[in-house]
Amino acid sequence: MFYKIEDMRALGGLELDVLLAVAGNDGEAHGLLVRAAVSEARGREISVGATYTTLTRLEAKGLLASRTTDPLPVRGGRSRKEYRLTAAAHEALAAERDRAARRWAGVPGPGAEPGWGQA
Amino acid sequence: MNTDPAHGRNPAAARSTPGQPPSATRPRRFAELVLTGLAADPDELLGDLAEGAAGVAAARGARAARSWWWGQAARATPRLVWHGLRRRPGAVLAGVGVFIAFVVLSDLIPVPFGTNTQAYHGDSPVPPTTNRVLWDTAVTGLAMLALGALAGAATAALARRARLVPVVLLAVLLGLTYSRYAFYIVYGPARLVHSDGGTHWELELGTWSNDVVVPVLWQLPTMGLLLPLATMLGGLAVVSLRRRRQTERAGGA
Repeated sequence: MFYKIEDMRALGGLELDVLLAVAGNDGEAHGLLVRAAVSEARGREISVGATYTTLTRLEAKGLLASRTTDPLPVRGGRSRKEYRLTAAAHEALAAERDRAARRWAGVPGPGAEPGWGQA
Repeated sequence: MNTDPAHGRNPAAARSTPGQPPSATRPRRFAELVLTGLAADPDELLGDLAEGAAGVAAARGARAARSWWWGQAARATPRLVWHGLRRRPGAVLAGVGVFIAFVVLSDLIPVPFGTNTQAYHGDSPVPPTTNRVLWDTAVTGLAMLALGALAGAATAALARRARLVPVVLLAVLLGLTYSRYAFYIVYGPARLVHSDGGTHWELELGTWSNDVVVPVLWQLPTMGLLLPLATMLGGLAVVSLRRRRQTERAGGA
């Protein structure tokens, strides 16, 4: 019930960044890879806990699907979850792109003549 | 930075085995157990921490890896609690439900050796001896700690995943509620009346009218800190037990 209500909201900033990071490595994106990509995009380190909770939330919202790999020695014998975008996530990203395009449509680019303050 | 020319990396890093997570110490195993209780998918979180620490160890050495691991674990803990409370209404219900049951039961069940049995009547005020106060307080305090641990275990057993999240809620509520005993023991409903040259005067301490209260500062750690701690330990015991059973099942499969 919680997630149905949340689905109606727009994506949060971190959620959007995580979805974009997964989109860049679709099917092979895992927690540490997503963390590195989001940290690079944001210009500051985000924590493992933040990545984990955001991925969990997005999966519960139905925006991510995951598969579990075989256990890996580097993870202390634990397996790894690899994420891919769902159809709903593709739609959500397209909607976010349209929203961003609409927001930037009225903003003049650099070097444009100012439309006010001229005698 | 002082680097090992043979490997082109920190000498401390050379001592750790590349590609392997650093070995877990006892405090770290305890922290892992806490994270196991807080995360819905602990293997994923702990695996990321182990893999990340192995990467840091290879690049900057075992000491930096330890520091990185603890830093990430510390940052993850409050986030996991908040995430669990927001996303798991069942966990909130379990925590609040056990808290209410704890308060009701602890009021209903008489403590035969507790401080409540000492009525302190105004007609014949007989102050309890210091030994009696200390004994009653210690026994009642220990009984409360045992009850807190049981309540924590019951709450963890009620939850399906992220079992420690409702236990944290319960521990906070118990700590807030029972920390009033940190400062006072209530000696039954009565008023302390001092007889002084035939005149009577009443002494009331605290905010509970008709209660005579005795400040016992040593209970501050008992109820303010140890009761939530006992609650958490009870929950952790269940998490550890379930984890062990899971491992055994996985090993047997």
